[in-house]
Parts: sequence; C-alpha cells; structure tokens
Amino acid sequence: MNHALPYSLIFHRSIYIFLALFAFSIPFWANKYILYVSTIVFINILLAVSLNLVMGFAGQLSLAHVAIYGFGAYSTANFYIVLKIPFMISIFFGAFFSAFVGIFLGFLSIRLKQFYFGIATLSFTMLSHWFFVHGGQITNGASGWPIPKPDFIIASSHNGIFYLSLVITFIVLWFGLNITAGPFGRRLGALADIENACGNLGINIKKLKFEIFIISSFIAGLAGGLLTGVLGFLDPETFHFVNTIIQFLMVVLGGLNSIFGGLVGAIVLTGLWEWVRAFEGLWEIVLGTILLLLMILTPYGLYGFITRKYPKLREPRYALNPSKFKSENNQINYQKIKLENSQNLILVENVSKNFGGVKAIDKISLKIKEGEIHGIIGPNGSGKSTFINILSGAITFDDGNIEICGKKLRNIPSYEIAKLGVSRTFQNFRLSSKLNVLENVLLGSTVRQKHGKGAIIRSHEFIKEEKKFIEEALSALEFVGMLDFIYSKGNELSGGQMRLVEMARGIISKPKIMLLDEPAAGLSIKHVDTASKVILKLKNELGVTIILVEHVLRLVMNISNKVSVLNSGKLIASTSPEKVKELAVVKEAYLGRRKI
Amino acid sequence: MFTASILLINGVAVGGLYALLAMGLVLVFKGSGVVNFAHGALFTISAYLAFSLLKFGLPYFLSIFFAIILTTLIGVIIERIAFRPLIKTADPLIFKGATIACTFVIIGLIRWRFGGLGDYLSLPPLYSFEPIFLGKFTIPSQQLVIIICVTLIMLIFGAFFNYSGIGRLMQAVAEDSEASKVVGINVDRIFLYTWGVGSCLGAFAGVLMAPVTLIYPDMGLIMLVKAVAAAVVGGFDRLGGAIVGGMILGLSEVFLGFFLGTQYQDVIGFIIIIFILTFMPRGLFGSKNLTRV
Repeated sequence: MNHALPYSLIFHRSIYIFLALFAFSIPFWANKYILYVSTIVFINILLAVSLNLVMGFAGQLSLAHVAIYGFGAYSTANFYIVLKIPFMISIFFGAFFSAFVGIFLGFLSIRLKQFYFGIATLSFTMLSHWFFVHGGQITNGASGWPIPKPDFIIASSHNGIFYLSLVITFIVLWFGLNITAGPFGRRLGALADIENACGNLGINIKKLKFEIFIISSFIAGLAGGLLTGVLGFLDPETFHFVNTIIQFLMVVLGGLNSIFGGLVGAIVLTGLWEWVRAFEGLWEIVLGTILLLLMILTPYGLYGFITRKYPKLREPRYALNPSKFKSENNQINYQKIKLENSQNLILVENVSKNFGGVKAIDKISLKIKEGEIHGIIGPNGSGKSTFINILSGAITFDDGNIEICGKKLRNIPSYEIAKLGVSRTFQNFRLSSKLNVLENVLLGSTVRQKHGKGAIIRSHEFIKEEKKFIEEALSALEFVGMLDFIYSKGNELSGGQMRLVEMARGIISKPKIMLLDEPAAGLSIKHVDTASKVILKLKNELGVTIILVEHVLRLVMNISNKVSVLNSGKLIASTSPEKVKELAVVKEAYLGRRKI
Repeated sequence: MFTASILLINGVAVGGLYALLAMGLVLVFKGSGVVNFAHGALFTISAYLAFSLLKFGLPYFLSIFFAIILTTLIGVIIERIAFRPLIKTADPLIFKGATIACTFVIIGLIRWRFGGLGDYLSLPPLYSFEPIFLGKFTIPSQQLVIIICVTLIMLIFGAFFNYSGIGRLMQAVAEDSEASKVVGINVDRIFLYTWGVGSCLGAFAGVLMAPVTLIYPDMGLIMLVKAVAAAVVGGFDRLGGAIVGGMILGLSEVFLGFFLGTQYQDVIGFIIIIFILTFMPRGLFGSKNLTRV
C-alpha cells in the first residue's frame, strides 16, 4: 500500500504495530499471571472498541453490550462443547450469533432516542442476565459452566488463546481504523450529531444503524468467545449489568469517538482493576477516587486530552492526507445550461399540508425551470420553510403531486430524494461537531459514493474515489472561501461561516437543485453580499437550479429570475422580481390592507 | 380476596418507593440535565446512616431525620465535585461516568465501615401495629406506613415546587437555565438546591425501604435501575410521569410475580419496559419535541 496516508493515520498504525510486536513477545518473558491479564486486556480492548463504535462514533447510548458479550460467550460454549465444533470456529459462530442479536438492538435504536434507548437496552441486559441464570441446559444456570480449555496444535493452551486474542484484536483495530477513517466514519459522525439532516445528505439512517449494531455486536461476540477460552468457566455474574458500567468507564476514560481511545481506556482500566486488588477491602474507594480525579482532570478522556493539545494526532475521518493535494487544478466541471430552452425541473401541483388544524400549505401549484434562481418570500408563518421541507422530503405532504426531474415524490424517503440531486442548507445550522470542516464537506459526497465498501481493505477504487472527493471538497471550500478553516470542528465556526460550509457540502454532492433555507438569516450586510455572490456563482458556473427562501428582500430581488410570494399557505404571486414589487396583493400581505 | 388486597397494598407500596426514587432522578435531570447515577448509592447510604445513628443511641425519629439531612449533604457534595467542575465539557456521558465513580466511593465506604457487621443488617420498623381488617380486605401495617409517608412526601414536595419561591426558581432554571441567568437568577445556587432536594427524595426512599427489606451495600443498584426504568416509562421529563411509571412497575412486579412465580419477579418489569417503549418511544407522558429541520 503506497497510498498517501494522513500524518495521524501513519502515527496510529505505527503505534498499533509497535504494540503488536511488544505483545507478541509477552509469552516469552512473562509469568502466567501477566499472560492472563494481557489476554483479558485484549478482550477488554475488543469490548471497548465495540462499545465505542456504538456510543462514541454513532452516539447511541447502548447499555446492552455486556449482554451481547454474554451471548457471544454462551453461544461459543454451546458450539464448542455441545456441538463439538473446533474452538477457533466456534468463536466465529458465536460472534455471528451475537451479530444476529445486534439486529434486535438496531431495531430498538430506530424506534428509540437517547436514554429511552439506554433504558430499553438496560432492560435487555437485565433480561439476558436472567436468561443466563435460568437458562437450564443452554447456559448451565447460576452454578456456572466449566469449560475445558481449548487445545492448540502448535502452542500450549495459555499461549494459544493469548496469540489468538492478539491476532483477533489487532485485526479488529486495523479494521476499525480503516472503516472509521473514511465515509463510514463520516456517516457515523453525522448520525451522532445531526441525525435529522442525515436524510438530506443521502444517508439511509435505518441501514446505517443496523450496520453499526451488527459490526459492533460481532466484535463484542468475539470478545465473549475468547473469554470462554481464557477462563475455562462461565459464570452468569460476568455478564451482570455492573460490568456494563466497567465497559462504559473504559470508553469514557479512554476517549469517545476514536478507536485508539478504546484501546487506551481498556489498558488503563484493566491495569487499575488489577492494581486496586492490592487494597482489598478499600478497592472500591481507591478505584472510585482515581476515576473521579481522572475524569475531572481529563474530561474529554485520556485520548481526547492528547488530541486537544495536538490536533494533528486525531484520527481522521478521511483516508488520504489533504495537504498533498492542490485545489486549483481540480475545478468541478459542469455543463452550462441556457435558460431559454430549459425544461421544467420541479413540478408542484395542488400540494397541501396540514399541521393539526393549521393549513401550512394550501393547494400550491408551481413550476420551476432548470437553471433559474427561484426566490420564495412571504411573511412569517406563510409556509416557506414547510414548502422547502416538503421538497427535500424532511416532511410528507397530504394532497397533490410533486415531481422532481420527472420522478414523483410521494412516499420517497429523503435519502432517495437526495440521490435525485436535491441538496439543501438549513435554517438552523446542521454541521456535525464530531467532524472537522473538511469532513463535514466530504459528507456531501455520500450520494455519489460507489466504492464505499472498499474502505475495509482500502481497495484501489476506494482510494481513487476518496482522492477525487477530497480534491472536490477542497475546491468547493475554496469556492466559498473557507479553505483556511478545514481543521476547525463543525461547531467552532460563526453562523455565516457555517452557512458557507453547508453550501460547500451541497456543492460536492453535485446537485441539480439546491434548496437554500434563509441563507442570509443573521448575517451582516457584508456577509449577505458574500452569500449572494456564492449563490450567483453556483448558478452561473455550476449550473445549479436554486430555490431561495429568504427574508432579506434585497438579496432575493437582486439575484432571482423569478419570485413566488406565499401568504397564509397560499401562493399569491409568481412572477419576475420587478413585477412582484408592484403587485397590490404582495404589498397587502406584507403591509396590510389600506382602509378606504 | 385476602391475597388480592395484600398484593394490591404491596404493589402500591413498592411502586411508591420506585416513584419516590424516580422523582429524585427526574428532578435532578430536569434541573441540571444530568442522570445522577449516584442516586442509588444515596438511597443506600441513607439507610445505613439511619441504622448507625440508631445504634449510636439517638431516638428513632431523630436518627431518621439526621440520616436524611446527612444524605442531602452528601448529594450536595457530589454536585460540587462531580458536576460543577465538568459543566463546561457538557458531554452527558462524562457526567454519567463521574457520578458512577462517586457511587464506587460511597459503596466502598459503606463496605469498609459496615463490612464487619455482616452482610445484611436490619432496621426496626418505623411504626408497627396489627394489620387492619376492612371487611374482606386486609392491610399489612408496614406497607400502609410506607404508602402514607410516600403520599405525604409527594404532597409536600409538590407544594414546595409550585408555591415556594425556591421551588419556582428551580422550575425556571429547569425550563431554561440561560434565560434564568439573564434575568438575574443565581443558577449555580439553584443547581445546588436541585441536587439537594433530589438527594433528599432518594434519602426518604432509603429510610422507608430499609425496615421492609434488609440493608446491604448493593441494595441501591437494583433500585436505581428500577427507578430509572420507572422514570423513563413515565416519560423522563415529567414528575407526574415518574409516579405513574413507579406504580406500573411496582404493581406489575408484585401481581405478575405472584401469579407466575417469584423467579420471574425481577424481570417482569423489564419486559414491560421494552414493550411500552417499543410502542410508545417517548414513554407514557414524555413531551414530544417536534424535530425542527
């Protein structure tokens, strides 16, 4: 692999290789106790990475990982002892079974948010623990299940299970780093922080949630399978809710939202756990005090503590180092469209939408031509935002018909609409704080991604595609004048800057239509001019059709080809900006009727 | 009829205790946005404090009174060391981690101090009398005491929130802490009160529960889990929801546990929770935050 890697990816990989080499040497010099603890460290690393993927990356508060871990352990034991399948294969069968249980968690997470999900998963953990205790022959009940230590042909049982854990752990770390440093990691960042914008970015939330829970559960299942081999005894209390807390602490202590953080947390906490045993009766006090101190001193986790000081060491969510590219040579080429002979791109017929008793949109019919800037104005509460939300698929409409590029919108989820070439910006900013500006912009490429799965093995096609997207993202950022901010976090920008980044994110999705929801809201006069320049550039240079919802009339009147006026959910005018200014109905809507 | 009345009273009593704990959790969550995982430990320590003060020779009511006061103080200390220094990071997971660490310390202290006295200790009942017979109904005394106390406490706290100055300030801060700061409310001080009152509710639950069951260091964990569950079933941001959630959990546990067998008693609640949440993703009374796009 001679592809250019970002500095920090090289850094992380070298640490992993160094750790693997060091770990490889342990059986040659260590005693049995150190060997045992090291194997437990590997298992805890797997658990921490697994939980971090769900909790740190995807922002889903799952308390069920200890149950998944248990299902992995017990199913491995069943495959190994009852069905007499070799241990090495049983582990993977057990992990597949855990992944199957993970599908159920994915289902719950689609229905439930935040700690409602947390409590549902906690209940699941309690139920599973109950099942492990009362499972009869499947789990051997409360008294535990002695398991003969697996034999390895080339090594002793202790060394064999150690090396097996080592290999599995480092494959998982490598795999985890690969998938998170790429489009999958970016999508998780969006899911965690801006879930309600995901659809408009072309992300299928349900699919993503199932994917992350299956992957994470598979890893937790592997950990459980290894545990059966290490302990030689399965005790249901290992999978009690209390151990969820330990896993949770590993992730929080190590650092959320990074593979490496899980590794650090697992090593530190396992070490602490073994060390505080020396205090016998006082171990809980010592452990609690140390944890509390660590959290107060490093509230972003140990890894977060380091990456805040040295941002370059943060795990990136892109596969290539952007500093190797120059943006100038990579202008995005679009066909320029002439307005005169253009087609109707958006067709809206008799569309209505009610919220309770309020008619937000009342039988609107509208045609929007390819290549035009179509301004939509109207007083507050006239239905402008509702209209744009309907077009982007964020909300459904009650009656009527909408066609975009000849395709009917009814019953199409928003991520499919995004794939038709509809991009949008938001009235309230939607940038993920878990991603930096470049990564946020790269999110826009989701709809065009073809080789996303290649990230697992960093296939040639994937690298080529990623390179193209990074080049485009850089030139899009240059286009809106935000190239200097690519390493800032999404939430560290000013309002106007966020708007510009959102536009850049829209640009690299190569949209046919861009919906701008109040792009000038809260901007200074100077920034309004910048915004209007960017909008004109979008239209003239990139040939994008723009629907502009805006209160700043100066902006709308200056740049629009056509202006529609909404009032109380009704379309009261749709004509050129000059004529709109003269219309009596419009003046009436804004200023009220003059009494005669 | 005899069993039905006992089950009913038992269920209401257990549900009331869950509700009391859940109210403390919801209060702290609404007031400061943190799920206080040390709540179970506060519950436990109030029982232990009552026990040791009684042993020390204080009269019954005084020892209960001081146990509650001391537990409230511990809650305030937790606010000072595990909540206040972390406010700027604002990651809710860190707060959970810090309160869990506090739990370790408190439970560790209990085990260290009381570990030598045996695993299970017993607190004498608050007030005991013969079961009351009302026609065909029988009312066991201890459960009746719990029900009366829980009802009184809830009424007092309800009045406190709605009619006292501090209670109203707490409501204002819970609604919008930024805006409260702007109009001149000392938000930091109110956070402290919120944590104090929340801990106080947990302490009440502890001293009420202790005479019925035995006291042991890990008694708080399962109670915490059930209180969180009750709060969530009720919709986490509603105090009234916590009461209904606690009752649902308590009654269903007692009744179904009786008909299906006690081995199922501990899991029935969780089956009901998964069931309710699957069909009502925001709990029974949770406010629907319309997602703005």
